[in-house]
Amino acid sequence: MQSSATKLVEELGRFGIVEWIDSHTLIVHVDRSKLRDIAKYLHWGIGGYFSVSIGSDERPLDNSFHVYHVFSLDHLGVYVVVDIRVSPGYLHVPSITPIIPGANWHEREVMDYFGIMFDDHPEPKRLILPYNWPKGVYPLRKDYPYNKKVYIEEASDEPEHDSRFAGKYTIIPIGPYHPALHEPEYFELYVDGERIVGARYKGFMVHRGMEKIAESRMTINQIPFLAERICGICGYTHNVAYCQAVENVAGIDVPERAHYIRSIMLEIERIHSHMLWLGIAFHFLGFDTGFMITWRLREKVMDLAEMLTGNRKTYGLNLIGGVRRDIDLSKALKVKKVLRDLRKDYVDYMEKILGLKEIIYRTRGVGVLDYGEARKYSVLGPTARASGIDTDVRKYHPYAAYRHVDFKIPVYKDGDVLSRILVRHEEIIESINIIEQLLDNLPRTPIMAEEIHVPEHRIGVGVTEAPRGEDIHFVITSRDNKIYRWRPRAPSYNNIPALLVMLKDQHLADAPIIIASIDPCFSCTDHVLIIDVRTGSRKQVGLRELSRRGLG
Amino acid sequence: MRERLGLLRRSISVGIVTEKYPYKPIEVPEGFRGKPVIDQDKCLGCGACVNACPPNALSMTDDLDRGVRVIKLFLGRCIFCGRCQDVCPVEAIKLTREFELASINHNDLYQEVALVMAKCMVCGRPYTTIRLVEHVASNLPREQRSHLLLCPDCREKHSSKKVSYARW
Amino acid sequence: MIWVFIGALANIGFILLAAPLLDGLERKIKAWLQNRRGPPIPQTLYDIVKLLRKPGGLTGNPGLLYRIAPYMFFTNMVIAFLFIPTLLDYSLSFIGDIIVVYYLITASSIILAMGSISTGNPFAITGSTREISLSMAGKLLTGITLAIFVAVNKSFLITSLFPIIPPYRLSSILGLIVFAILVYIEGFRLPFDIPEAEPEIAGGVIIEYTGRDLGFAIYSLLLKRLLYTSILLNLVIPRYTVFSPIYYIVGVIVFSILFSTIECFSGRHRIEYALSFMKKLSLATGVVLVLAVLGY
Repeated sequence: MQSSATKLVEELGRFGIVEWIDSHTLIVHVDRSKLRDIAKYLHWGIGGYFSVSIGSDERPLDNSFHVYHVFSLDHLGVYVVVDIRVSPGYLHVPSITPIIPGANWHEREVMDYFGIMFDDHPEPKRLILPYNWPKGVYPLRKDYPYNKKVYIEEASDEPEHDSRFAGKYTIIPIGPYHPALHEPEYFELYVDGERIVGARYKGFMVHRGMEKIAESRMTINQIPFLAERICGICGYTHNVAYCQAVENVAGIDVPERAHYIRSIMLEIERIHSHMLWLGIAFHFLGFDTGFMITWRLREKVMDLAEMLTGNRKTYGLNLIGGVRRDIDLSKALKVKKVLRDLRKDYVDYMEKILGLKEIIYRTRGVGVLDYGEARKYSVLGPTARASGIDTDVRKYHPYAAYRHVDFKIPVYKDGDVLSRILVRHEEIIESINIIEQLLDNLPRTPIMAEEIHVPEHRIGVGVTEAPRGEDIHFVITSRDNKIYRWRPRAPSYNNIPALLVMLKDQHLADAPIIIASIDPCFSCTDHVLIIDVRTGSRKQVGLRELSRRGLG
Repeated sequence: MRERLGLLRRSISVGIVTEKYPYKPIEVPEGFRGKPVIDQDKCLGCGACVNACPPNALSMTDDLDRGVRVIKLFLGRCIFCGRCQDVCPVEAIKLTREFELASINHNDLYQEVALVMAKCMVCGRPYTTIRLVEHVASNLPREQRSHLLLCPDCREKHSSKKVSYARW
Repeated sequence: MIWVFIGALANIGFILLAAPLLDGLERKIKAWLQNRRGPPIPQTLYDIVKLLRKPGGLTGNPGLLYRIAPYMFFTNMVIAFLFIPTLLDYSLSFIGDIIVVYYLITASSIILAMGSISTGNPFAITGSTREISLSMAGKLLTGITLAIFVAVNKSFLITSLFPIIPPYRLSSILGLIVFAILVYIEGFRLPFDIPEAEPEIAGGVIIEYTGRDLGFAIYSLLLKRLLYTSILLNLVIPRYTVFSPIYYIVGVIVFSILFSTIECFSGRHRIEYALSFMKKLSLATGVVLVLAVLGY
């Protein structure tokens, strides 16, 4: 293991200067000419996968912009940050999207926010900012104040439909408000009879400008509470990822008991998230009783969270350096008893539900994402595991207390909706096992680190396995108890682009369950934009209008 | 078919689990993080909670004309994280188990504590609350207490004067 | 004759009240089976009353067919009930009235679907195509099944079809089973509520209706459900006795309980599965019809 890591450092030395940021993160400073080679090497050459790109305006520090591409090397347990310095005089970087299609959104986001152009990008269009956002205004640059308002007057020149399909096929608009979506997002399905021939996605409608607020006016210990609100379902995992990023930078020795408590809560969150998802999946399959059953069982998990943290959903448990609440013996016993009963009930119910003919019939072979496509888009979490990719941050980049527990990672090869159901189903049971192991071995240490000192201008990467996949937080620290750059990337960001592959050639009736099958969390994905409520200029065509065109 | 009958049997054995909620109160556990309440009698007006509050639900304003410091809590912004409770030196702000905050009156979402401020012995400007001065004084040795009666500006001048005297 | 008319009107009054209440009962039973308290039994009635009091807003400028579809549907259903005895034993009857009932049922589905298509809403269109294919299959099956009973009783007069007089023949027993399945399917219950399928096409055929129009559309669908149940009941319960209202009421409640329980533990099928199921059922029913004609 150690020797292979040394070998990796040697290999990467061919591309640029390599440094260790912390014990399991490497940074490689590469020249733009070597960028594509190293991306190809990391993603396709040695079995890593592309994780996230980050733009950063570091003109106040070293008079340049930076683009960071982060790759995960599961088999070595190492994250590699590829750093490209971009001089303000020539804002161009070679695009890696032609090599790794999954980088498409990431690069476009950097284009929108920093004005850095990616050469040879196949689709160099706006992703997040509206089309009529003024040219030359880049909201995440440091010279853009967080409270500056932008007024948009001109009309958007955004094409309304995909020209390859519009006019030829019926357009079924799913969203921005639709019973199958619980958050405002827009899928445009091009339908021939009941068969979907193409799809277009338009997202980023739930902008909250969190990065900018955090970088501008929040302190290091306030951001965890903001991070927790990135997602309404898996917020705690963001909270932990952020804290880990800062703790890695500062080299804080978090007490073991705090690690255990974090892991316990993360697993409780996973159980509740997966059960919530199962319920919704059953609802989309028309089986509402299944929805009621899983949500009733989930309620017991919510009660546990409430007992342990003081709230059902926003646990508010973390600060940099540890956790705020301890788990005492009586609570631990209660948790174990509830989980024991829950496992029995849950397994029994699921055996019966998964025996229902129409559930299997409507999910087997539906919405298939094969291994190759899954690798191309760098999909994460249960979506990846259902497509035969054996990846799990808990196992391959162990954090918190996961190195002390024993658990299985369910992997299925079919890549259909049924596989995704089964992966999550097994993960619920594994999570219950993990919590039991952790509670049995809670170490007796304090729950908060004594000494906390955060150095300036250092890069930190914090990663957790969220219920939907790898959740990565990239942090550059700053002076005065602040953060210079914070880029959280939720797993759905990588998973949603793969939906368009899954939807192709499927039945219209299956569209909701396919969209739901990656457990998309749109708010997580969208949280990043700077907001101006008044803008609202992303013009949505009314259902009525669309339908008229759909006919013609 | 067997599965369906099994589900039916389980459904019947479980019975009804939903509660008649608005008509029947719901128990929340010990340690639930609900509405924060400021104890008027304990609050020192030190502003520690204001600094810690992530969503800026707590604010502090000094009304120099009236000579009062106002600590204001707006529940509309509160995220019930309990950081204020953590940092309060005198346990003046505490989270209760109350969570039903809907109200038809906007003012029900505000809590205010107004504390009389101490005036500087030299320039006469109000600079902090009397309670805070008293609290700090009780923790300081007698000979250092006189500094507390000056505002930060005058204190600076005063101590630099002292230092310069010492130098001579 | 006048008494027959008054009796039939009383029947209409009864079913107008009973259809929403039965739906309320089904909602309650489903809630119990899902471990919920559920809405009060008159909830569907309240919903419909509330909808009927609201103005029906139509978006854009839909065709005439679309505007009048809910009302025509409703009228068709009410007229159909004149020929089917429900609570009381009174009903209008003339030779061939069964064909009239059959026509009224078929026409209303088509009207609803055609009207819906004219709106141009893609969800409505998808819902309508589903509705038309399903209802074609359903109406074919209804036709074959009714033909079985016509063959058994050798009459086109509804009153003489009801009830089937024991001893039951093989074909009439099989016919009754098929008809019970048909009552379930035509009652747009899961897994056969495909034309509305809320999570998929957001209401489908009725997506563009609101207020009073929506109220009438839903009301008519509930009436249609009860109409099928009533025909089925009339085939089995004894008529012209003092107890026939009680038999009838007990009958519809038993079917409500049975059907809502089945619905509670099913998921929604895709349209082509439902169609292939109905195709197979139709073929089997065709064989039964041949048996009936042959006198078995």
